[in-house]
Amino acid sequence: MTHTMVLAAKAVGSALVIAAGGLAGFAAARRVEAELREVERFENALLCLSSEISYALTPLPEALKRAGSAAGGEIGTLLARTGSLAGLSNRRSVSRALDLALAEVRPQSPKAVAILKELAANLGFSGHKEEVRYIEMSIDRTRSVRKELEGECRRKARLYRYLGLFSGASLAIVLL
Amino acid sequence: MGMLDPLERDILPLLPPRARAPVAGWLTEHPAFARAVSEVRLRAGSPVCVVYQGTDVLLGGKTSPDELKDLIEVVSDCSYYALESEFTGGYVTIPGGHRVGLAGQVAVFPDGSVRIRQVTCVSFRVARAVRGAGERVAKELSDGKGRLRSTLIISPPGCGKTTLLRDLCRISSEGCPEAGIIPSQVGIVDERSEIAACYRGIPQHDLGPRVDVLDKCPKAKGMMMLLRSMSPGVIATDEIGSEEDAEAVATALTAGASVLATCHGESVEQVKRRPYSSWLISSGYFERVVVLSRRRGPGTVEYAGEIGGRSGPS
Repeated sequence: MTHTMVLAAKAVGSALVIAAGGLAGFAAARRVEAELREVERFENALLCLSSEISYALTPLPEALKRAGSAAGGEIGTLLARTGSLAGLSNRRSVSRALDLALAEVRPQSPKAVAILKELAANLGFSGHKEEVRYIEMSIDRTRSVRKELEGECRRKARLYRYLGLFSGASLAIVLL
Repeated sequence: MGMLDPLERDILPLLPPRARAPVAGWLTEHPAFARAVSEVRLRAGSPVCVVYQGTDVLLGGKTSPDELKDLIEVVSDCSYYALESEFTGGYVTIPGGHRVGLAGQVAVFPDGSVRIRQVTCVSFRVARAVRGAGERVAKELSDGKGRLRSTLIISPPGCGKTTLLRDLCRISSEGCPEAGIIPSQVGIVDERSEIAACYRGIPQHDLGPRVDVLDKCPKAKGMMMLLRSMSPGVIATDEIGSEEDAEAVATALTAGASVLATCHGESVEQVKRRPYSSWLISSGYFERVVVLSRRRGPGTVEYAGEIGGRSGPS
Protein backbone atom coordinates (compact mmCIF):
# COMPACT_ATOMS: atom_id res chain seq x y z
CA MET A 1 0.00 0.00 0.00
CA THR A 2 2.74 2.39 1.02
CA HIS A 3 4.87 1.34 -1.98
CA THR A 4 1.89 1.91 -4.34
CA MET A 5 1.35 5.33 -2.79
CA VAL A 6 5.04 6.24 -3.25
CA LEU A 7 4.89 5.17 -6.90
CA ALA A 8 1.71 7.16 -7.44
CA ALA A 9 3.26 10.22 -5.83
CA LYS A 10 6.37 9.83 -8.00
CA ALA A 11 4.18 9.54 -11.12
CA VAL A 12 2.18 12.62 -10.19
CA GLY A 13 5.35 14.53 -9.31
CA SER A 14 6.99 13.54 -12.60
CA ALA A 15 3.90 14.59 -14.53
CA LEU A 16 3.91 17.93 -12.73
CA VAL A 17 7.61 18.51 -13.43
CA ILE A 18 7.13 17.65 -17.11
CA ALA A 19 4.03 19.88 -17.29
CA ALA A 20 5.91 22.74 -15.62
CA GLY A 21 8.80 22.40 -18.06
CA GLY A 22 6.38 22.20 -20.96
CA LEU A 23 4.48 25.28 -19.76
CA ALA A 24 7.71 27.23 -19.37
CA GLY A 25 8.66 26.27 -22.95
CA PHE A 26 5.20 27.19 -24.28
CA ALA A 27 5.30 30.52 -22.42
CA ALA A 28 8.69 31.36 -23.95
CA ALA A 29 7.35 30.44 -27.39
CA ARG A 30 4.24 32.57 -26.82
CA ARG A 31 6.41 35.57 -25.96
CA VAL A 32 8.23 35.27 -29.28
CA GLU A 33 4.92 34.86 -31.14
CA ALA A 34 3.34 37.77 -29.25
CA GLU A 35 6.20 40.06 -30.27
CA LEU A 36 5.71 38.98 -33.89
CA ARG A 37 1.95 39.72 -33.67
CA GLU A 38 2.69 43.11 -32.12
CA VAL A 39 5.12 43.97 -34.93
CA GLU A 40 2.51 42.86 -37.51
CA ARG A 41 -0.04 45.16 -35.84
CA PHE A 42 2.49 48.01 -35.84
CA GLU A 43 3.10 47.52 -39.56
CA ASN A 44 -0.67 47.68 -40.21
CA ALA A 45 -0.93 50.81 -38.04
CA LEU A 46 1.85 52.50 -40.03
CA LEU A 47 0.14 51.63 -43.32
CA CYS A 48 -3.10 53.09 -41.96
CA LEU A 49 -1.25 56.22 -40.73
CA SER A 50 0.33 56.69 -44.14
CA SER A 51 -3.08 56.46 -45.85
CA GLU A 52 -4.66 58.93 -43.40
CA ILE A 53 -1.90 61.46 -44.13
CA SER A 54 -1.57 60.83 -47.89
CA TYR A 55 -5.20 60.75 -48.89
CA ALA A 56 -7.17 62.55 -46.19
CA LEU A 57 -4.61 64.98 -44.73
CA THR A 58 -6.05 63.97 -41.36
CA PRO A 59 -4.44 65.95 -38.51
CA LEU A 60 -1.77 63.80 -36.89
CA PRO A 61 -3.40 63.34 -33.44
CA GLU A 62 -6.59 62.07 -35.10
CA ALA A 63 -4.61 59.96 -37.60
CA LEU A 64 -2.69 58.31 -34.74
CA LYS A 65 -5.94 57.55 -32.91
CA ARG A 66 -7.48 55.99 -36.03
CA ALA A 67 -4.36 53.97 -36.87
CA GLY A 68 -4.14 52.75 -33.27
CA SER A 69 -7.79 51.69 -33.14
CA ALA A 70 -7.48 49.90 -36.48
CA ALA A 71 -4.34 48.01 -35.42
CA GLY A 72 -5.45 46.93 -31.95
CA GLY A 73 -3.19 45.27 -29.38
CA GLU A 74 -0.88 47.08 -27.02
CA ILE A 75 0.93 48.90 -29.82
CA GLY A 76 -2.47 50.13 -31.08
CA THR A 77 -3.35 51.35 -27.58
CA LEU A 78 0.02 53.13 -27.41
CA LEU A 79 -0.56 54.89 -30.75
CA ALA A 80 -4.11 55.90 -29.87
CA ARG A 81 -2.99 57.19 -26.47
CA THR A 82 -0.16 59.17 -28.10
CA GLY A 83 -2.72 60.71 -30.47
CA SER A 84 -5.00 61.71 -27.62
CA LEU A 85 -2.12 63.31 -25.67
CA ALA A 86 -0.58 65.22 -28.61
CA GLY A 87 -1.61 68.36 -30.45
CA LEU A 88 -2.82 71.88 -29.98
CA SER A 89 -5.53 71.09 -27.44
CA ASN A 90 -2.94 69.42 -25.18
CA ARG A 91 -0.13 71.83 -26.18
CA ARG A 92 2.20 68.88 -26.68
CA SER A 93 4.42 67.61 -29.51
CA VAL A 94 4.15 64.00 -30.72
CA SER A 95 7.45 62.89 -29.21
CA ARG A 96 6.50 64.33 -25.80
CA ALA A 97 3.07 62.69 -26.04
CA LEU A 98 4.74 59.35 -26.88
CA ASP A 99 6.99 59.60 -23.81
CA LEU A 100 3.91 60.13 -21.63
CA ALA A 101 1.98 57.32 -23.35
CA LEU A 102 4.92 54.94 -22.83
CA ALA A 103 4.64 55.51 -19.09
CA GLU A 104 1.09 54.12 -19.30
CA VAL A 105 1.38 51.43 -21.98
CA ARG A 106 4.41 49.24 -22.58
CA PRO A 107 4.03 47.08 -25.71
CA GLN A 108 5.72 43.67 -25.92
CA SER A 109 7.94 44.62 -28.84
CA PRO A 110 10.87 46.85 -27.87
CA LYS A 111 11.88 46.90 -31.53
CA ALA A 112 8.52 48.37 -32.61
CA VAL A 113 8.76 50.95 -29.81
CA ALA A 114 12.27 51.94 -30.95
CA ILE A 115 11.02 52.47 -34.53
CA LEU A 116 8.03 54.44 -33.26
CA LYS A 117 10.23 56.68 -31.09
CA GLU A 118 12.47 57.50 -34.02
CA LEU A 119 9.43 58.18 -36.22
CA ALA A 120 7.79 60.40 -33.59
CA ALA A 121 10.90 62.57 -33.47
CA ASN A 122 10.38 63.34 -37.17
CA LEU A 123 6.58 63.58 -37.33
CA GLY A 124 4.51 66.70 -37.06
CA PHE A 125 6.61 69.47 -38.54
CA SER A 126 7.43 68.48 -42.08
CA GLY A 127 5.55 68.69 -45.36
CA HIS A 128 3.18 66.10 -46.73
CA LYS A 129 5.72 64.26 -48.92
CA GLU A 130 8.42 64.18 -46.25
CA GLU A 131 5.96 62.98 -43.62
CA VAL A 132 4.80 60.09 -45.82
CA ARG A 133 8.44 59.30 -46.67
CA TYR A 134 9.32 59.06 -42.96
CA ILE A 135 6.42 56.67 -42.42
CA GLU A 136 7.42 54.57 -45.44
CA MET A 137 10.95 54.31 -44.08
CA SER A 138 9.51 53.10 -40.78
CA ILE A 139 7.31 50.61 -42.63
CA ASP A 140 10.42 49.23 -44.40
CA ARG A 141 12.24 48.88 -41.10
CA THR A 142 9.20 47.25 -39.48
CA ARG A 143 8.96 44.79 -42.38
CA SER A 144 12.53 43.69 -41.95
CA VAL A 145 11.99 43.34 -38.17
CA ARG A 146 8.87 41.27 -38.90
CA LYS A 147 10.75 38.99 -41.30
CA GLU A 148 13.51 38.54 -38.74
CA LEU A 149 10.93 37.68 -36.08
CA GLU A 150 9.09 35.27 -38.37
CA GLY A 151 12.33 33.32 -38.89
CA GLU A 152 13.06 33.51 -35.19
CA CYS A 153 9.55 32.33 -34.44
CA ARG A 154 9.83 29.35 -36.75
CA ARG A 155 13.09 28.32 -35.16
CA LYS A 156 12.73 29.38 -31.57
CA ALA A 157 9.04 28.80 -30.82
CA ARG A 158 9.29 25.10 -31.68
CA LEU A 159 12.66 24.88 -29.95
CA TYR A 160 11.32 26.46 -26.75
CA ARG A 161 8.32 24.11 -26.69
CA TYR A 162 10.44 20.95 -27.15
CA LEU A 163 13.11 22.27 -24.84
CA GLY A 164 10.54 22.89 -22.12
CA LEU A 165 9.03 19.42 -22.43
CA PHE A 166 12.40 17.64 -22.65
CA SER A 167 13.88 19.61 -19.78
CA GLY A 168 10.85 18.71 -17.67
CA ALA A 169 11.17 15.05 -18.66
CA SER A 170 14.93 15.04 -17.97
CA LEU A 171 14.41 16.62 -14.58
CA ALA A 172 11.68 14.09 -13.79
CA ILE A 173 14.05 11.21 -14.70
CA VAL A 174 16.80 12.66 -12.52
CA LEU A 175 14.38 13.10 -9.63
CA LEU A 176 13.06 9.58 -10.01
CA MET B 1 -14.25 85.90 -11.59
CA GLY B 2 -14.38 87.73 -14.93
CA MET B 3 -14.03 86.12 -18.32
CA LEU B 4 -10.46 85.53 -19.43
CA ASP B 5 -9.12 87.78 -22.16
CA PRO B 6 -8.43 85.91 -25.44
CA LEU B 7 -4.70 86.57 -24.93
CA GLU B 8 -4.69 84.81 -21.56
CA ARG B 9 -7.15 82.10 -22.65
CA ASP B 10 -5.78 81.12 -26.07
CA ILE B 11 -2.25 82.45 -26.54
CA LEU B 12 -0.50 82.51 -23.17
CA PRO B 13 -0.79 78.73 -22.62
CA LEU B 14 0.92 78.12 -25.97
CA LEU B 15 4.03 80.17 -25.23
CA PRO B 16 7.21 78.33 -24.21
CA PRO B 17 7.46 78.37 -20.38
CA ARG B 18 10.44 80.78 -20.43
CA ALA B 19 8.36 83.30 -22.39
CA ARG B 20 5.02 82.56 -20.70
CA ALA B 21 6.12 83.41 -17.16
CA PRO B 22 7.39 86.97 -17.87
CA VAL B 23 4.35 87.78 -20.06
CA ALA B 24 1.96 86.49 -17.39
CA GLY B 25 3.86 88.53 -14.77
CA TRP B 26 3.68 91.69 -16.90
CA LEU B 27 -0.06 91.20 -17.47
CA THR B 28 -0.58 90.85 -13.71
CA GLU B 29 1.43 93.99 -13.06
CA HIS B 30 -0.33 95.97 -15.81
CA PRO B 31 -3.93 94.74 -15.91
CA ALA B 32 -5.00 97.93 -17.70
CA PHE B 33 -2.88 96.99 -20.72
CA ALA B 34 -3.99 93.34 -20.85
CA ARG B 35 -6.91 94.03 -23.16
CA ALA B 36 -4.86 96.42 -25.29
CA VAL B 37 -2.22 93.87 -26.29
CA SER B 38 -2.41 93.38 -30.03
CA GLU B 39 0.57 91.10 -30.65
CA VAL B 40 3.05 88.84 -28.89
CA ARG B 41 6.25 88.26 -30.86
CA LEU B 42 8.87 85.59 -30.28
CA ARG B 43 12.23 85.75 -32.04
CA ALA B 44 15.03 83.20 -31.79
CA GLY B 45 17.75 84.63 -29.58
CA SER B 46 15.65 87.58 -28.38
CA PRO B 47 13.32 88.32 -25.46
CA VAL B 48 9.56 88.07 -26.01
CA CYS B 49 8.05 91.30 -27.38
CA VAL B 50 4.55 92.39 -26.33
CA VAL B 51 2.95 94.99 -28.61
CA TYR B 52 0.22 97.20 -27.14
CA GLN B 53 -1.29 100.60 -27.86
CA GLY B 54 1.22 101.34 -30.62
CA THR B 55 4.25 100.62 -28.44
CA ASP B 56 5.99 97.50 -27.17
CA VAL B 57 7.88 96.02 -24.25
CA LEU B 58 10.63 93.34 -24.22
CA LEU B 59 10.28 90.73 -21.50
CA GLY B 60 12.22 87.76 -20.09
CA GLY B 61 15.11 85.68 -21.42
CA LYS B 62 15.99 84.72 -24.96
CA THR B 63 13.81 82.30 -26.90
CA SER B 64 15.72 79.33 -28.34
CA PRO B 65 15.26 77.93 -31.88
CA ASP B 66 14.17 74.58 -30.37
CA GLU B 67 11.43 76.31 -28.38
CA LEU B 68 10.18 77.89 -31.62
CA LYS B 69 10.29 74.52 -33.40
CA ASP B 70 8.18 72.94 -30.62
CA LEU B 71 5.83 75.93 -30.73
CA ILE B 72 5.29 75.55 -34.49
CA GLU B 73 4.62 71.84 -34.04
CA VAL B 74 2.01 72.58 -31.39
CA VAL B 75 0.25 75.48 -33.20
CA SER B 76 0.01 73.32 -36.32
CA ASP B 77 -1.65 70.60 -34.19
CA CYS B 78 1.39 68.43 -35.04
CA SER B 79 0.11 68.52 -38.63
CA TYR B 80 2.31 70.85 -40.65
CA TYR B 81 1.51 68.75 -43.74
CA ALA B 82 -2.21 69.53 -43.42
CA LEU B 83 -1.52 73.28 -43.26
CA GLU B 84 1.25 73.54 -45.84
CA SER B 85 -0.57 76.11 -47.98
CA GLU B 86 -1.18 78.30 -44.90
CA PHE B 87 2.45 78.02 -43.86
CA THR B 88 3.49 78.94 -47.40
CA GLY B 89 1.29 82.04 -47.03
CA GLY B 90 3.20 82.87 -43.83
CA TYR B 91 0.56 82.36 -41.17
CA VAL B 92 -1.86 79.90 -39.58
CA THR B 93 -5.04 80.50 -37.62
CA ILE B 94 -5.47 78.92 -34.20
CA PRO B 95 -8.63 78.42 -32.10
CA GLY B 96 -10.00 81.78 -31.05
CA GLY B 97 -9.27 83.16 -34.52
CA HIS B 98 -5.79 84.43 -33.63
CA ARG B 99 -3.27 84.55 -36.44
CA VAL B 100 0.18 83.11 -35.97
CA GLY B 101 2.55 84.80 -38.41
CA LEU B 102 5.89 83.24 -39.29
CA ALA B 103 9.21 84.45 -40.62
CA GLY B 104 12.64 82.92 -41.01
CA GLN B 105 14.85 81.31 -43.60
CA VAL B 106 12.92 80.71 -46.81
CA ALA B 107 13.57 77.99 -49.38
CA VAL B 108 12.59 78.73 -52.98
CA PHE B 109 11.81 75.66 -55.09
CA PRO B 110 12.32 75.31 -58.86
CA ASP B 111 8.55 75.62 -59.49
CA GLY B 112 8.63 79.05 -57.85
CA SER B 113 6.94 77.97 -54.63
CA VAL B 114 8.46 79.07 -51.34
CA ARG B 115 8.54 77.51 -47.93
CA ILE B 116 9.82 78.75 -44.60
CA ARG B 117 12.53 76.19 -43.90
CA GLN B 118 13.66 77.47 -40.54
CA VAL B 119 11.16 79.50 -38.50
CA THR B 120 12.97 82.07 -36.39
CA CYS B 121 10.18 84.59 -35.70
CA VAL B 122 6.63 83.86 -34.57
CA SER B 123 4.01 86.54 -34.08
CA PHE B 124 0.69 85.95 -32.34
CA ARG B 125 -1.85 88.53 -33.49
CA VAL B 126 -4.64 88.69 -30.92
CA ALA B 127 -8.13 88.53 -32.48
CA ARG B 128 -10.73 90.45 -30.54
CA ALA B 129 -14.22 90.82 -31.94
CA VAL B 130 -15.70 94.16 -30.91
CA ARG B 131 -19.41 93.52 -30.75
CA GLY B 132 -21.25 96.75 -31.43
CA ALA B 133 -18.40 98.36 -33.42
CA GLY B 134 -20.69 98.69 -36.43
CA GLU B 135 -23.80 99.91 -34.63
CA ARG B 136 -22.69 103.55 -34.57
CA VAL B 137 -22.43 103.64 -38.38
CA ALA B 138 -25.19 101.16 -39.31
CA LYS B 139 -27.86 103.87 -39.51
CA GLU B 140 -25.73 105.89 -41.96
CA LEU B 141 -25.28 102.81 -44.11
CA SER B 142 -28.90 101.63 -44.10
CA ASP B 143 -30.80 101.90 -47.41
CA GLY B 144 -34.09 102.53 -45.61
CA LYS B 145 -35.49 99.24 -46.89
CA GLY B 146 -33.85 97.06 -44.27
CA ARG B 147 -30.47 96.39 -45.88
CA LEU B 148 -27.01 97.86 -45.67
CA ARG B 149 -25.93 99.79 -48.77
CA SER B 150 -22.80 98.71 -50.61
CA THR B 151 -20.02 100.19 -48.49
CA LEU B 152 -16.28 100.60 -48.78
CA ILE B 153 -14.39 100.80 -45.49
CA ILE B 154 -11.12 102.71 -45.83
CA SER B 155 -8.30 103.01 -43.30
CA PRO B 156 -4.56 102.54 -42.82
CA PRO B 157 -3.49 99.18 -41.29
CA GLY B 158 -4.39 98.60 -37.64
CA CYS B 159 -7.30 101.05 -37.50
CA GLY B 160 -10.09 98.47 -37.26
CA LYS B 161 -11.30 97.94 -40.85
CA THR B 162 -11.74 94.20 -40.45
CA THR B 163 -13.28 94.59 -36.98
CA LEU B 164 -15.89 97.00 -38.40
CA LEU B 165 -16.53 94.78 -41.42
CA ARG B 166 -17.00 91.74 -39.14
CA ASP B 167 -19.53 93.58 -36.98
CA LEU B 168 -21.41 94.88 -40.03
CA CYS B 169 -21.67 91.23 -41.18
CA ARG B 170 -23.10 90.32 -37.76
CA ILE B 171 -25.55 93.24 -37.91
CA SER B 172 -26.73 92.16 -41.39
CA SER B 173 -27.05 88.57 -40.23
CA GLU B 174 -28.87 89.30 -36.95
CA GLY B 175 -30.65 92.47 -37.97
CA CYS B 176 -30.54 95.76 -36.07
CA PRO B 177 -34.00 97.35 -35.53
CA GLU B 178 -32.42 100.57 -34.16
CA ALA B 179 -30.70 101.13 -37.52
CA GLY B 180 -33.62 99.79 -39.55
CA ILE B 181 -31.67 96.71 -40.70
CA ILE B 182 -33.59 93.46 -41.16
CA PRO B 183 -31.78 90.08 -41.10
CA SER B 184 -30.23 89.01 -44.45
CA GLN B 185 -28.31 86.04 -45.74
CA VAL B 186 -24.66 87.05 -45.61
CA GLY B 187 -21.83 85.52 -47.62
CA ILE B 188 -18.24 86.15 -46.57
CA VAL B 189 -15.25 85.53 -48.80
CA ASP B 190 -12.46 85.33 -46.26
CA GLU B 191 -9.28 84.97 -48.29
CA ARG B 192 -6.95 85.53 -45.33
CA SER B 193 -9.13 84.01 -42.57
CA GLU B 194 -9.35 87.37 -40.83
CA ILE B 195 -13.04 88.26 -40.99
CA ALA B 196 -14.56 85.05 -39.65
CA ALA B 197 -11.19 83.69 -38.44
CA CYS B 198 -12.18 80.12 -39.22
CA TYR B 199 -10.40 77.25 -37.52
CA ARG B 200 -10.97 74.06 -39.50
CA GLY B 201 -13.76 75.85 -41.36
CA ILE B 202 -15.68 76.98 -38.26
CA PRO B 203 -15.91 80.76 -37.64
CA GLN B 204 -14.28 81.67 -34.35
CA HIS B 205 -16.11 85.00 -34.12
CA ASP B 206 -19.81 85.58 -33.51
CA LEU B 207 -21.19 86.50 -36.93
CA GLY B 208 -24.85 85.79 -36.32
CA PRO B 209 -26.97 82.93 -37.60
CA ARG B 210 -27.20 83.72 -41.33
CA VAL B 211 -23.58 83.70 -42.44
CA ASP B 212 -21.91 81.44 -45.02
CA VAL B 213 -18.14 81.62 -45.13
CA LEU B 214 -15.77 80.68 -47.93
CA ASP B 215 -12.57 80.41 -45.97
CA LYS B 216 -9.16 80.94 -47.60
CA CYS B 217 -10.88 81.40 -50.96
CA PRO B 218 -9.60 83.96 -53.49
CA LYS B 219 -11.94 86.97 -53.38
CA ALA B 220 -13.06 87.16 -57.00
CA LYS B 221 -13.66 83.41 -57.35
CA GLY B 222 -15.37 83.29 -53.96
CA MET B 223 -17.80 86.10 -54.76
CA MET B 224 -18.86 84.31 -57.96
CA MET B 225 -19.21 81.01 -56.10
CA LEU B 226 -21.38 82.61 -53.42
CA LEU B 227 -23.59 84.32 -56.00
CA ARG B 228 -24.15 81.05 -57.83
CA SER B 229 -24.63 78.80 -54.83
CA MET B 230 -25.84 80.72 -51.79
CA SER B 231 -27.84 83.73 -53.11
CA PRO B 232 -26.57 86.13 -50.45
CA GLY B 233 -28.23 89.47 -49.80
CA VAL B 234 -24.91 90.84 -48.57
CA ILE B 235 -21.39 89.82 -49.61
CA ALA B 236 -18.42 90.84 -47.49
CA THR B 237 -14.76 90.67 -48.36
CA ASP B 238 -11.49 92.17 -47.21
CA GLU B 239 -8.80 94.22 -48.97
CA ILE B 240 -10.06 94.64 -52.52
CA GLY B 241 -7.62 96.09 -55.03
CA SER B 242 -7.05 94.03 -58.16
CA GLU B 243 -8.87 94.22 -61.49
CA GLU B 244 -10.36 90.77 -60.87
CA ASP B 245 -11.67 91.89 -57.45
CA ALA B 246 -13.24 95.02 -58.95
CA GLU B 247 -14.98 93.04 -61.70
CA ALA B 248 -16.30 90.53 -59.14
CA VAL B 249 -17.65 93.36 -56.95
CA ALA B 250 -19.36 94.92 -59.99
CA THR B 251 -20.91 91.54 -60.93
CA ALA B 252 -22.13 90.98 -57.37
CA LEU B 253 -23.76 94.40 -57.29
CA THR B 254 -25.38 93.82 -60.66
CA ALA B 255 -26.75 90.54 -59.29
CA GLY B 256 -28.53 92.50 -56.56
CA ALA B 257 -26.31 91.81 -53.56
CA SER B 258 -24.89 94.56 -51.37
CA VAL B 259 -21.11 94.43 -51.08
CA LEU B 260 -19.22 95.34 -47.94
CA ALA B 261 -15.49 95.61 -48.59
CA THR B 262 -12.36 97.13 -47.13
CA CYS B 263 -9.46 98.92 -48.73
CA HIS B 264 -6.13 100.27 -47.45
CA GLY B 265 -5.88 104.06 -47.51
CA GLU B 266 -6.17 107.24 -45.49
CA SER B 267 -8.94 108.92 -47.42
CA VAL B 268 -11.30 108.46 -50.37
CA GLU B 269 -9.04 110.72 -52.43
CA GLN B 270 -6.09 108.48 -51.83
CA VAL B 271 -8.08 105.34 -52.73
CA LYS B 272 -9.38 107.07 -55.86
CA ARG B 273 -5.80 107.36 -57.10
CA ARG B 274 -5.69 103.57 -57.53
CA PRO B 275 -7.07 102.33 -60.85
CA TYR B 276 -9.59 99.65 -59.90
CA SER B 277 -10.79 101.14 -56.59
CA SER B 278 -11.22 104.44 -58.42
CA TRP B 279 -13.31 102.74 -61.11
CA LEU B 280 -15.60 101.16 -58.47
CA ILE B 281 -16.08 104.48 -56.68
CA SER B 282 -16.51 106.72 -59.72
CA SER B 283 -18.88 104.27 -61.41
CA GLY B 284 -21.11 104.45 -58.35
CA TYR B 285 -20.82 100.80 -57.38
CA PHE B 286 -20.19 101.73 -53.76
CA GLU B 287 -22.87 103.99 -52.35
CA ARG B 288 -21.37 104.61 -48.91
CA VAL B 289 -17.91 104.94 -47.44
CA VAL B 290 -16.56 104.69 -43.90
CA VAL B 291 -13.13 106.19 -43.20
CA LEU B 292 -11.34 105.04 -40.02
CA SER B 293 -8.21 106.27 -38.25
CA ARG B 294 -6.42 105.83 -34.91
CA ARG B 295 -6.83 109.50 -33.98
CA ARG B 296 -8.75 108.63 -30.80
CA GLY B 297 -7.64 104.99 -30.71
CA PRO B 298 -8.23 102.21 -33.24
CA GLY B 299 -11.67 102.36 -34.85
CA THR B 300 -12.06 106.15 -34.77
CA VAL B 301 -14.76 106.89 -37.36
CA GLU B 302 -13.60 109.92 -39.33
CA TYR B 303 -16.45 109.78 -41.77
CA ALA B 304 -19.43 107.55 -42.52
CA GLY B 305 -21.84 108.45 -45.27
CA GLU B 306 -22.14 109.19 -48.98
CA ILE B 307 -19.01 109.03 -51.06
CA GLY B 308 -19.27 112.66 -52.12
CA GLY B 309 -19.10 113.96 -48.52
CA ARG B 310 -16.08 114.75 -46.34
CA SER B 311 -13.87 111.73 -46.63
CA GLY B 312 -10.72 111.98 -44.58
CA PRO B 313 -9.33 113.02 -41.23
CA SER B 314 -9.42 116.74 -40.71
